[in-house]
Amino acid sequence: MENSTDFQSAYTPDQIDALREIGNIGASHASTALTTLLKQDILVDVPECFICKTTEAPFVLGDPEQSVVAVYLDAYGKGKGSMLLVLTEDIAKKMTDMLLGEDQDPTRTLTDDDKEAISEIGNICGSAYLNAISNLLGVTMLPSPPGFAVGMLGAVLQYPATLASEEYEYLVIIKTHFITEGHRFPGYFIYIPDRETEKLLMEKFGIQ
Amino acid sequence: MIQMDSIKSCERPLTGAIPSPMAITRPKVNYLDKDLIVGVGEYKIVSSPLELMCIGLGSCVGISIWDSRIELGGVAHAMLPAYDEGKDKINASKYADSAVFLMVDEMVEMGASRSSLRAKIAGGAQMFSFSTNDTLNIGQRNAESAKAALKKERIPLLAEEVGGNKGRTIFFTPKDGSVRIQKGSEITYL
Repeated sequence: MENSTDFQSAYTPDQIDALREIGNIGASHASTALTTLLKQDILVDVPECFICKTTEAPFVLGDPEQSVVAVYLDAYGKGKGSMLLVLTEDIAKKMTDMLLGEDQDPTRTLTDDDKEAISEIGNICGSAYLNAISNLLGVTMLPSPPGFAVGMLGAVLQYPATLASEEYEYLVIIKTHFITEGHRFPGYFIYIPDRETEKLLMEKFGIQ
Repeated sequence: MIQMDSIKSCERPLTGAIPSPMAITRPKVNYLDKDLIVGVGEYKIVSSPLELMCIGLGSCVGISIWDSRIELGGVAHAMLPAYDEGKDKINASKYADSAVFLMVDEMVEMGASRSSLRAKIAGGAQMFSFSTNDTLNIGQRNAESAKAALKKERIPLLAEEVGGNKGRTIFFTPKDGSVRIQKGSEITYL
């Protein structure tokens, strides 16, 4: 992918590996949490981790006009950062059905119940993810109440991109697949550590 | 084919090889390609009949400024409100206020007259709804900053559609300064 070759100077391959590893650890925690919550096996797989320019983030994840749902968390405590979970509408609806234990029309527009349920799912996934990182680093990280958005992918991603652009020129994007009942659904975790936490992470992996 | 030198990207300095508006060829074919999409934190200026678009304006604000006399117009896709508050001092086009100043200067260099410039803005939505209200509404601040900058430049703001919680895609036509806003399946014109 052109993203990874273009920005070699921003992160070394070792650092990208370390970040992917964090993604893996976070995703496996999220998968356990989801499976417990939804009482169905949900695998969270991390096929790809890549770096992109903050200003290009809204365009690298696919058609910027497709409709997605997203849950946003801030991390407070000694380790800071922000966390975004992006899901396509299909899997979001599927997960709410599982959570509420009822089969609804998959072509429905999102109801308020759906939105509440998805916020909660995002909250749990995001918290599990942050937990993994805070365990790894041995610092406390507390998630903020979740923010919820539904809309165009490009527009949704502008919020974290804007926040990150104040500090960073590049973003780390962890692409995930949610696998359930033999179907794969694409999703994204975007974790934006602050400078301090990023340093801690790199030290933990022995990378300068 | 579109003459590439009639399309200018945002990077400065650009003062060198700017064709005068009279010299810009006006191709008959009118289509949108990647060069006519204004990326996040950029601005672009084109002359009629070309059109510009911004895809997925969320908290970002799309500032369209045009001079209908010479049918020259530009769109800035700004992501942060104020240059003075930002840490990044190099890419000034990503701040709503400095993007307006840069774009206006450049349009004047390209032959627009300051007094005939008009503006419309769209975007500045708050995509995420939080249960707590202490989060800064960056979309609203972007829109306010853009309006303040236009006021400083004494450019009349003819229409605006800002706020809400939906993303917007905008198409801008420099010929008459019309802005078509697509919000999901809903289409409005400014």
